[in-house]
Amino acid sequence: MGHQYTAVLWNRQKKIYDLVLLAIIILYLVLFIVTARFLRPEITEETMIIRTTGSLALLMLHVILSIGPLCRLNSRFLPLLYNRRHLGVSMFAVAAVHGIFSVLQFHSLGNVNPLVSVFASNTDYHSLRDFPFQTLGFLGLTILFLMAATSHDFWLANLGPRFWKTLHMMVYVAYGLIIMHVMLGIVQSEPSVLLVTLLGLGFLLIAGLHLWAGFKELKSDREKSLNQRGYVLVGKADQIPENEAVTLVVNGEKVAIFKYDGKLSAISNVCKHQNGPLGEGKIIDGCVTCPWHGYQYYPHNGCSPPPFTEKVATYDVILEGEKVYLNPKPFPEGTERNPVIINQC
Amino acid sequence: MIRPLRKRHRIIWLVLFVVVSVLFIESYKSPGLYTEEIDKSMIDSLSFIESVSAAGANYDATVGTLQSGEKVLQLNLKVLFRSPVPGVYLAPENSNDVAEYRLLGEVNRIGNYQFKFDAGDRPYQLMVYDPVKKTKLETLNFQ
Repeated sequence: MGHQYTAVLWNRQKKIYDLVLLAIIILYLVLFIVTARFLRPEITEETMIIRTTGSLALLMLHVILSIGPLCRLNSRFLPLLYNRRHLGVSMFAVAAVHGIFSVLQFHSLGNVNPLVSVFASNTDYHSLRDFPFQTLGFLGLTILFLMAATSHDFWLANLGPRFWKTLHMMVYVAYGLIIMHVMLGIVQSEPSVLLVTLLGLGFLLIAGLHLWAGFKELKSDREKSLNQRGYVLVGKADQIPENEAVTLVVNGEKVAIFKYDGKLSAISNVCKHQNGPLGEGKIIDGCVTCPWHGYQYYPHNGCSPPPFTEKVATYDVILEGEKVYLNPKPFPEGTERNPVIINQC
Repeated sequence: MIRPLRKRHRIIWLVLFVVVSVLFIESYKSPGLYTEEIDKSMIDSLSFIESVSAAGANYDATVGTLQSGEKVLQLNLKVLFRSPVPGVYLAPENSNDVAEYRLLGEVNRIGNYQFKFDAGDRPYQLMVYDPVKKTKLETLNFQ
């Protein structure tokens, strides 16, 4: 969370995250090159760069795509989400090296423009197995470029959340293109049951995680029925962990009911930054803190602490005995509502 | 994530799962335009009833005819071709129609190769071809 735009928003955690990421990338490159030099000493330097960076970018893309559903399935994975943006841009940089060297190696020695050659050198577009796989990689890399170039809050604010999110959900299209790029590259260039199996397992893992998380949420997206007074039963107060929240769906969207300092407050579950799940965050320094990127809101009025101006809707909470109820009628964003005091009831 | 986005994610991944799975399996199963099943097993000693040889900057090669009439290409690759996917292809003589090319095997590492093939009665040519660049890297001229 920053008040002004900076080129790269670093803090201590992000620096540690990035250093660990850099160390893993270097380790992978060294291990791959040493192993390949031992197993395939005849491979040229250009081919080595293409294969090392291609496999690394594919691996990183799988890690990136697994973080979202893992966090939706288990909040213990949330620290991985915190700096996913840097991971994504790093992955694009590695993929770009793969793409540039591939174009140089395969298409730069002819009398045709290399970028034209990518699409025109193999014209077997009518064949599935012999389909020009490099075009798929090129299109996938183009999408990754657009995402990396706009992976900044400046673009989120100026493109608008709706357009920005749609653009960034194109990563799933890019993933499909890249899976087929790699698959066709394997079967056309160097058929290997092992590589095809690994690629297939990787795709099944990512698709499986996303579908698992999606259908699990389908269950929690069901709305609870109202009681006679028009309230929704949340549960018992002691079932809500201290400084954390429980969520339930009202009017088509989730509301987060937080317990803190012996009090209960309810705000919208949807963070204004990137629609992060506030109910999966904790109360830190008196503020509800979004688990995705650290945006903060006061639980009693839904306002971000000054100088920030983000606001979310607030709700009334009712306590009857041990049972907590929610009034499903939202108050305008930033409306102060008195918290319910647990000890006095 | 808001509820409509969760729904959009579910739909996208269902579609992606089905489409990519089908394409993945089909691309593995479907026969290629230029490939066929070949016997790559190395045969240590062969007795040819006749043989011809060729040599280039990158290779030495011999094509021998077995008693059965089948032919065997023995190729010793000394220097790698400047291509990541060079393959030895069999084609009718003087043909430039790529659809008629048949892959005998890839030659992407230095060493000895041996490919058995049946050219039939038609005159044929053997070449090293890059299917990505669609470029003939070398024509094996036997004498």
